[in-house]
Amino acid sequence: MPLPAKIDEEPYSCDTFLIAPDFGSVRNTLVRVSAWLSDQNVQPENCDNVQLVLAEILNNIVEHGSLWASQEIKLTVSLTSENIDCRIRDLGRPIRVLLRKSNYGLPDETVTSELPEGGFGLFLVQSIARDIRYLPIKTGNHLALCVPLITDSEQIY
Amino acid sequence: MNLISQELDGVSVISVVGLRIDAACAIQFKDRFRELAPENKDRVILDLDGVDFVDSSGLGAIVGIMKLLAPNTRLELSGMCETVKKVFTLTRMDRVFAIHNKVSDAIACEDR
Repeated sequence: MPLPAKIDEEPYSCDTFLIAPDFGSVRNTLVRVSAWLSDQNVQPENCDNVQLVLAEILNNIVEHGSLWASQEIKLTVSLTSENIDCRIRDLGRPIRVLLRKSNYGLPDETVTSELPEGGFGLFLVQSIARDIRYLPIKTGNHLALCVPLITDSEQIY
Repeated sequence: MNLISQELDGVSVISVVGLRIDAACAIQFKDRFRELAPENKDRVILDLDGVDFVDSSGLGAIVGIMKLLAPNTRLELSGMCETVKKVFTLTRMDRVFAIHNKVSDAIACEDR
């Protein structure tokens, strides 16, 4: 069954990355994706946003997806005039965590002992990415999202 | 990724040698910091100059070592690039840590 098309605009540049399910391979891929985007003249802050989002998603798959070493994660990155669209396909356990709303609470700086040491990942993804959705698939996960291209004057922080 | 500890003008400075603090090295980072963490100091500067990426695991590790040092020792940060700063700003952790542009600024800081 063809995937539902959600990207309104044809990408003018696209690349695919195959990632072994370990943290080191995720790191290497993030560096490669960032270099590829930079080659497409994407501004550094947008490359950073993509790296932050993909780091959380890919590491989450590595940590919780129960993938065999031979089961590579497939990442497709497409560049349009307004977004960097990402599709991530894996054969691991179904994970739908990104559809949950982050319950990260802004820290109370006065109580050091109660500062959170986790929960940042989902919050970062939902702060930066848009249109997060799981595409229908029989085995594993197929996630799509986009990272808006921002200009210096549109910084979200 | 490695850490180097030194004392500059009486202030303990631990510098990160490596480009990233991420899921691939967050545990190693925390363990190494524990080995180097000085005792009986009011403050320790973690110098992030040269680090170009921190993900949520890295952020969690930095918060973890802050909690490890507290309440007797305060962890302060220096040398953050814009990418790393963004992670702290988005999560509002920039309000939790004292953040200095450079190690020399941190050492010169009067609040010590």
